[in-house]
Amino acid sequence: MNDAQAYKVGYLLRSAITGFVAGTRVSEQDAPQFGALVKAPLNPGMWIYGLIYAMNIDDDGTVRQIATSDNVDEVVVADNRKNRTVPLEISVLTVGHRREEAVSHLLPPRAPLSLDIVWQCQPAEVAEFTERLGYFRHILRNTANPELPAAELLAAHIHQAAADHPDGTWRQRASQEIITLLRDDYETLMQVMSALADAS
Amino acid sequence: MPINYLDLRQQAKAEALKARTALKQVEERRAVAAALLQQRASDLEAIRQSVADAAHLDPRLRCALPSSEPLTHAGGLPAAPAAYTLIAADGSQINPNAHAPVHYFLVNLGAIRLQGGGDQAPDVFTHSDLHVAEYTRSGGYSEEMVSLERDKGERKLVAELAESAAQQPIITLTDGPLELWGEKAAGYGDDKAFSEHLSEYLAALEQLHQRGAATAGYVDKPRADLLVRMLEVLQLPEGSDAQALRARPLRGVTDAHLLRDLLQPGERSAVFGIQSQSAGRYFGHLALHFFYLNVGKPGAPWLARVEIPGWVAGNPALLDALHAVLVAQNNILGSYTYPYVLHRAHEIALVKYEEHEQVAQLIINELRAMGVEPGELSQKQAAKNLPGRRRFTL
Repeated sequence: MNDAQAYKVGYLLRSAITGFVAGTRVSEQDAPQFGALVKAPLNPGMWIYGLIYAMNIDDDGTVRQIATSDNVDEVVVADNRKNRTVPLEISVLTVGHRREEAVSHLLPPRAPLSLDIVWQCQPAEVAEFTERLGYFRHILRNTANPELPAAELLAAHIHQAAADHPDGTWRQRASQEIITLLRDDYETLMQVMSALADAS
Repeated sequence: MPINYLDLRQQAKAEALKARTALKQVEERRAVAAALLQQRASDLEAIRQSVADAAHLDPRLRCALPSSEPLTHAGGLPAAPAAYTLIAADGSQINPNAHAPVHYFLVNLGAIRLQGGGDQAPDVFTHSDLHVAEYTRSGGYSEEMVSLERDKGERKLVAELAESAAQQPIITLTDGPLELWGEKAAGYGDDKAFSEHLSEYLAALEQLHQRGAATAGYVDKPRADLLVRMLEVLQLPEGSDAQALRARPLRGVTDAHLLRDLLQPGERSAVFGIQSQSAGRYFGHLALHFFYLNVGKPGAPWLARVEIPGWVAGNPALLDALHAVLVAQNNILGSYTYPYVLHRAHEIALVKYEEHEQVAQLIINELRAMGVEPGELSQKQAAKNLPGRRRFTL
């Protein structure tokens, strides 16, 4: 993630205080990553931060029919990816916000608006937002939600964010924070630790 | 009041019983037609003469005319060209509504142009044409007139896109017959407006001819009986009059029904010309022709009628390219045997129902911005728009 540039993830489709969904063209799906920290504007000088926890590409009747053909022509594949309006939906879990220079891991005061641009955060911003670890509670609050794979999300996020912390101790601090937060939930703790081990 | 399903059920039963009887009769007639087709398969010149004689008795006669291929011809699937340009266009419209505040219509054209044999995404095009009918020269438009605008627009669009096509051969497709319909339906006192549309339509066809493109109209699930009608003409006794010609001994048999067992998947029928009252408008290399194509699978035949102009009918290379590309296109959508590019053109052109209201509001806003107060919704429509009674639910 160190060489990441300011990247437009997509346009905001729908939102709530606790999360939002951005849409983008399917052909651009290689840019955003599961677990990445992204941000959407709220007011001038104010941003909402979140982690990408899901990506969906809906099918339709035409795609289902094409998929049953023996050989799908390259032109047809290219047409469906480039021309047909099948957006990649990127779901984001809100983990905090920023007002001017002050980073907060509290939920934002309002939800972002439709068609706001969602940006991927650059390494310095990731390092700044994740310096404190209070935002982990937003992820661990959702461990019972099958749509939000909390253990996998934490593992992917920690793996990416650790690369943006030059001191090299961040990953250890993050692991310790998770152990503290999940000390009464042994099953989830083991899931997260197992995922973290796989991600290292 | 809801539909009276009790009555309907009885009626449906009675209709099903009638259908079973009628089907048996149609099968018998089909057997007669199939035998006649075999008997007269190579008797082409005599058939042409019989049709000409019959057309003399009744100029409104509409039937097939044999060309150079035997009636039972079944042309195998040719190899597809290594590279080609395929263009398809379709149209969609918002029809004028006399009860709406503004009498307007919209013709939305969609097209796709792909390079066959490559791997690049095709180009897609849309063209939206809005008419606020109160302020046009005619003062009003019927749904049939809008359909004419749409059909003409489709042909003009494919002709325009063919001009800049990169690869030869060029194949263009539209959904439905090649012939421009609507002269009678439009209900003009004179056919001046229709003639103007037709002139533009023929000019677009001529443009495609000049470009050397194979243009075609694709008719899915055809119910026509042009070939069967021709066989009826052959059954007429010597010296028959116009009244005898109007008898329909093979009524109910369609061409697709007749040819279903003759054509294997991928095969096309012979190419036929069309004897009709309107044929005079499409003369020379523009003369209307057609063939049937089995785009189905083994054991599940599905016949489409493909209408082509004379210059395509008389050019074996163009005909083969069209034949091969159509079969390939019909294999893309899985179990649905319909050309992929036509499906896509339809998708591109489609005006969704919810867009009707948005377009109307757009016009109203612009009219008001110009100081023009739009009309009012009719009282009848306003009453229809009242919310219906809803069931109370928790």
